[in-house]
Amino acid sequence: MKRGLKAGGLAVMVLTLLAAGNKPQEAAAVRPAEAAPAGGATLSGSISVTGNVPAPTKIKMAADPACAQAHPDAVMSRELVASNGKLQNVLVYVKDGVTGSFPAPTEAVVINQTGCMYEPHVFGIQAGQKLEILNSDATLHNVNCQPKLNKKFNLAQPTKGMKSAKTFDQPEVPVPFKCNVHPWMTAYAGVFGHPFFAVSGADGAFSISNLPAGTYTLEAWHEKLGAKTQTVTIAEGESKKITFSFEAK
Amino acid sequence: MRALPLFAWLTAAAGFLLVIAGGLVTSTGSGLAVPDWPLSYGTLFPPMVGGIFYEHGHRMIAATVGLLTLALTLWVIFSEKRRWVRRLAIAAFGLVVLQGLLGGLTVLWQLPPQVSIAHACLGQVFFSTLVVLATVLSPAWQRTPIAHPSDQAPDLCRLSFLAASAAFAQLALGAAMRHTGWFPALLAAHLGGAAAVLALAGKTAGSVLKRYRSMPLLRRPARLLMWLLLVQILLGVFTFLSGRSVLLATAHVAAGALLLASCSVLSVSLYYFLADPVHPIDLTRRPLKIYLELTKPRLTFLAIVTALGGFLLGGAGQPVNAWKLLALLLGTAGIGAGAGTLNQYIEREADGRMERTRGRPLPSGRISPDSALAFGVACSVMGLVLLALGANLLAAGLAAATLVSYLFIYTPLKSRTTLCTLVGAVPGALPPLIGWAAARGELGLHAWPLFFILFLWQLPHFLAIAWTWREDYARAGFRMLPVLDPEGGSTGRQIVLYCLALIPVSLLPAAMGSFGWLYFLIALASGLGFLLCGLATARTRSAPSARRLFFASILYLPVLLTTMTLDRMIS
Repeated sequence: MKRGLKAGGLAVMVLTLLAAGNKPQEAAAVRPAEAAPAGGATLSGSISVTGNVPAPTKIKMAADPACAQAHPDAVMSRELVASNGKLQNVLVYVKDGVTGSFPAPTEAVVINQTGCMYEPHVFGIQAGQKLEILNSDATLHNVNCQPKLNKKFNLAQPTKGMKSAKTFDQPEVPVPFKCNVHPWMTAYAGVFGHPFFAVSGADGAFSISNLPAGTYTLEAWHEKLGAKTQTVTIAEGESKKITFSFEAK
Repeated sequence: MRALPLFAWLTAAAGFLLVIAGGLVTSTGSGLAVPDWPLSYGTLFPPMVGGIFYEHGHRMIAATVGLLTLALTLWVIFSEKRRWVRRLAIAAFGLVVLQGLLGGLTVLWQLPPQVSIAHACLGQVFFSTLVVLATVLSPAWQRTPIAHPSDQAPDLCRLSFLAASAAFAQLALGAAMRHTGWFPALLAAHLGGAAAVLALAGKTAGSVLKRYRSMPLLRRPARLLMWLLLVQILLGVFTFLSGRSVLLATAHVAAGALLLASCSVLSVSLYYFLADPVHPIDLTRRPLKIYLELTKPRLTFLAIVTALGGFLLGGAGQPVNAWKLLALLLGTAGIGAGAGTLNQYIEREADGRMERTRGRPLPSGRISPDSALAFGVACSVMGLVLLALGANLLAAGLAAATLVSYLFIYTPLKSRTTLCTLVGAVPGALPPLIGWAAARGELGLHAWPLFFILFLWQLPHFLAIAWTWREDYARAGFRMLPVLDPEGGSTGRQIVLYCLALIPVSLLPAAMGSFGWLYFLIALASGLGFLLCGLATARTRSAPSARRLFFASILYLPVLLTTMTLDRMIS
């Protein structure tokens, strides 16, 4: 009897304490669907990197002869590529401040598996836009995509020339791609609700155009060096230069 | 050796290869290299390139082991006379089928950690089952006579079962680390688990080597177990230092499989060969009940709940860190269980003199003092390590203070002075501070009212118990206040004093702004109610009133803690 009372009372208490500790997170605000205002402003600039940037390492492809044969010369890793202090493969995008809705383009974004590497290594895509996944290699690939918000998938592409199509529903950065057959193969996508994104080239340059006038939070994301943000105000038709600077440890 | 046992060992060896192959799939991250199942890229034999080598290799070895197990099971069913061995073989086949399906789910559901962890654990259980099956099929097993049972045999059997359970829990923790990441709390639990396995398995093997050296079937697994403990700890350390090197991590998994298998074989052999034909040891009758009794489950539960309360109140406003919370709960459970067990170890003779405690595991001789000591130390060390690594050093320090004040100050004082009740209330009041420290890393001003509330609350609570059982305490030679105060005047005055002091102390958190009016009113009302029960006990000095006071104390604490939580939720 007394054990029952004590245990019962304590159990009630545990439950209440747990309930108090786990308040649900508030749901993300839904963006109102207004007509997208046409814009003529341009944000462009470059990404620089300071500090000790390690030299890219050589990828060993011996585990699959088909991959090794595709590369007479050495293949270098793409996770941290810089030249003359300019950083490649940085995803630059408007994180906040965009109003209105932007229908997804009808043309597909293509990610190609060629020479057992993903091409491109980093790319942006709009939510609802078609992603075409292509295997151009004479070997098997699995396309393992494990985002946090969007639907996960793991595709088999055993033959050369095979194509699959996928779309992402939710804006999300990053959406990682990985091949478990060839563990060196990785790629990253950014999924956005608008077309205001770009990826820095070999010279570290990027350009985002057709922006309406407004104040925006701009983010630059790199797979190894993390993310940097800054706020920009831009008038209609204006062109502004932006620089982001990362530091390699 | 006859053909069947040889075939059983061959299947077990293939099972060991399978564990290694499965470990390699995880270590190399190849689990999703083949996206389809049961076929691989639509065929039975895809090119074995890159990650496919590991994933498809694992599948091919698994299919082979499945077929071997099927053949073994059929062979055993048709040739074996012992029914329990036939059942064991059928269980092995059932396990391998289940394991194959679970493996398919890991692929089709893209490695959800729960399924991967279950697949890892089930694989270990299956391998151990194969090894046990091969052992009991061996001619040596069937030639060996049942040993003359001794008094200590049941104790050793239970200890071996506990060691095997701990080894399994340790493998499950390892699997969780491999499939979710090296979270500090998981790492801490795994380290604490290593201490527990070392204590329990080491003690089991040591006792076997001391007492049953003449029996090869007991000596061999015990000796192997000793070596494996050493190897496994070294491999664990190296895996950690190497930052999960593929080779070392897989070797750690493989050695873990051998460790569990030898623990299982040793335990089954002990139960089988040391069985008393007149009073057989019944595995099905809750073999761990004695250990549960040793932990003083209700006191331990109280410690866990109050630590949880301290954690949630201390960490108010911040999101709950689930791993830290888990480390706190398990760590506090370890401290509570360790304190309870070691207390009973120290007081085993006094407990034998009291009617209330005569039936406890130690005084009743159901467990040897040595085993209880090993278990108590294992629990305490595990708790301290968990808190130190999973929460922080302050929480672990408070836990150490709890152990020391309970075991080395309160316990010896019990037979010397009536002040023992006051001292004994300190360790009882520390768990909320442990929880608070785990959440915050420091003890602010607002943490202390929790300590003092629990401290003052315990005094009438324990005095009510001591009053009810005062003749018993006197027999054991404990100098509790009600023992020295047969009239009860002094006991009554103290009860009233503590109940009275509890009211302002319980209102302190409201005065300090931790809680609002709801808490103030309910704390005041329940404090007054508690005081009334105390006054009644002091006036009548009767057994029923003491019992009512005891019930009131049990009710008071949950009401107060629930109110604190409700108050927090409202404001």
